[in-house]
Amino acid sequence: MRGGANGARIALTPQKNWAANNPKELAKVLKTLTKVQKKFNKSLSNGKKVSLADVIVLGGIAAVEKAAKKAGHDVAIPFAPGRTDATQKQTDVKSFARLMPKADAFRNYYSDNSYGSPTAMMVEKAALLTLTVPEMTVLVGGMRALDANVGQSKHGVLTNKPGTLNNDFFVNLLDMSTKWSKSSKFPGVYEGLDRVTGKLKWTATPVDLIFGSSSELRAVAEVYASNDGKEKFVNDFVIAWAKVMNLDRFDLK
Amino acid sequence: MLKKPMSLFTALAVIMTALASASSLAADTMAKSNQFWWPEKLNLEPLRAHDARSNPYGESFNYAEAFNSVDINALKKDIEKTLKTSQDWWPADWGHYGGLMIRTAWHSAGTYRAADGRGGADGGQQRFEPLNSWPDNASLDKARRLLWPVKQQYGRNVSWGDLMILAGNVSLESMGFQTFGFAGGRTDDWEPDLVYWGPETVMLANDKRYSKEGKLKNPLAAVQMGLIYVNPEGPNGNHDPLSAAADMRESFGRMAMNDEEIVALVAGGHTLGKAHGAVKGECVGAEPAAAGIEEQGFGWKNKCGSGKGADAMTSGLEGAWSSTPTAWSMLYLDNLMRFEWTKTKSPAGATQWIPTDEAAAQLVPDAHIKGKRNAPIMFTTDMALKKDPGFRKITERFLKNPQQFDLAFAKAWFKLTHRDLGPRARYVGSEIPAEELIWQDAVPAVDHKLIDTKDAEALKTKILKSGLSIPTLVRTA
Repeated sequence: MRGGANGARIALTPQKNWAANNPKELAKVLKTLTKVQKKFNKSLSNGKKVSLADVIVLGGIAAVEKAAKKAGHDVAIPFAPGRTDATQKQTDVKSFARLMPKADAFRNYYSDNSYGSPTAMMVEKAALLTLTVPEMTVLVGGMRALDANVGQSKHGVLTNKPGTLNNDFFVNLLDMSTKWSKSSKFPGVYEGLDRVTGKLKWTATPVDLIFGSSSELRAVAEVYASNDGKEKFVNDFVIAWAKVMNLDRFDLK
Repeated sequence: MLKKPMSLFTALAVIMTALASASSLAADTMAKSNQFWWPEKLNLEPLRAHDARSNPYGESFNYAEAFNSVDINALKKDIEKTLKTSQDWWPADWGHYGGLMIRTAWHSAGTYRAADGRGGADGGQQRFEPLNSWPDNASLDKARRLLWPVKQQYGRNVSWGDLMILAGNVSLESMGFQTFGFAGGRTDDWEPDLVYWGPETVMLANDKRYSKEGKLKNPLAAVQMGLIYVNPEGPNGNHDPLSAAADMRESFGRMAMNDEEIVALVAGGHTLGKAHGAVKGECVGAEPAAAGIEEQGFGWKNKCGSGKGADAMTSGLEGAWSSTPTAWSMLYLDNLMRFEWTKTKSPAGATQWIPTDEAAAQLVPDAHIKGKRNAPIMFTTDMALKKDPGFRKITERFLKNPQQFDLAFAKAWFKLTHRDLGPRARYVGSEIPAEELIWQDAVPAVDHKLIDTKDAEALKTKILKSGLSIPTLVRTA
């Protein structure tokens, strides 16, 4: 039972250098967030302080709330401060290196070092995060809507409004006007063409298309793609998001 | 008077015949899963595992609280009494179950692998298949049954996960070793974990887990299906201490153990207890999962001799390393370095090592037969500690500095038995060591006041105004 947001070890070796963490972008973001944190801490009184780990989590919360608002939903994601920042000295680099993600379907990331297929590794990761089938489904759909892929890839970002927390991923995945086929150029990538014009609309990977092909996952995707599923999608995503952010907070339990 | 039992017997026979034909039909008449028809289809069962409805104590049961209510000293006394009370159905070696319980604790925790955190003592998974029937876990079915009266007495307040580890600690302490501490908090599972233990479909196979270049594939840590670590006779039983050392480094390394920890654990573990291989492998029956219903969860039924005690058969290797196997000492390290060792065969036919010096043949008292004495033994993996230059340096240092050896084993044992439990926040009980250890992935304690909701709102606005986009913030979080 390791890993998690507490400790802000994403700012330390080895995590800051992992390919799945977009090292270049990450360095910039952390610099900005640290600046905000320092300035904010100066403005606080009564011995109050906020850690970088809390700022990172709060930044995610602020972004998701804003993305939900853009979709017309006001949501408030619960936030529990109290994370602290570990030092490099407190970090067993060799042992942490073994945790390097080989695949992360939530961010549409897959490497050949994985021991199973992309979809099997998605289920494995979800199981390690103690997610249910609906939680895994809504998180993948939401993360695609939020345009949160590793390396800013557009695979599975089945929306014209990336960065808006809406159910477009499910609506467009189940849309019969799209015909999917294997890309002839890129192995492991699929192309979604307009069934009539043949125009390329989307690209996706197996961990996107599985929500249309697996009968059980399709059943859940239908729930979120339905007209009455828009609000449910946002609410369920927010609950699952908060669950993942607090998975390592044994101090709260 | 005669007629009644006769008719009862006839009736039973009829039922039994019906049952017998039903069981032969079972395979055909069982519902087949979709995974049976289409093995390539995505299997979502892992996300439905450990359903709260399977927990007989219910969702609201708080195990940490329950364990905290236990008088740990009384519990340890009860465990120690069990350790020293030999049972006829599985007699204790030298009248003390310590060696067996150390192995139980070790194998319970030792399945842990660092790459994905799977395995480990949490959950008490050794009770369930496949672990309860792994060849490397032979005879541990007896160990858990020996602990049952203690488990029964404490019920929900002491989980199997905690009990197996604590029994290992009490064993060490009972034999004169100062442990580093104990933390409870392992919550029992109620169904087997579904874990990828390797691509092979036959126990003890290893033909698929290595790449062409001979590299063990991720996230695996054991060298053969059904083993916790390595083959004690060397890779594929090649009896070569140097290649055994390479296997040990790889296997223990994937469980986040370094050279010093490897030497400490092997030497410390083998200072106590013995290995069992008194009879041929053919004497031993099916593992628990395949044994008859009348065996009641026991496996490896041994039909040779008494089938237990002096005739016990577990790994196939036979003997003890130290001449005081129920008392903590430096004798393992001393024997290893003092004698020259030569290969010999155990009664079961496995290759092990004994001193070339014939005077050593009388060093170790027999575990069950009064007056009989045996030679100390070493496995090929023990010889690795002497023959591998890296290991040897540490072995020699430990031999010269008993205190260093004691501390290294105490710390490595604590790590072995606690690393899968996770952060210190999960530790429960009165024997938690104060010292913070790097593998616990510690985070500093909060030494300031926390921000309130109003502050958080203000900070959110500032973050959003910093120019960072929604996707960037989401990715970083």
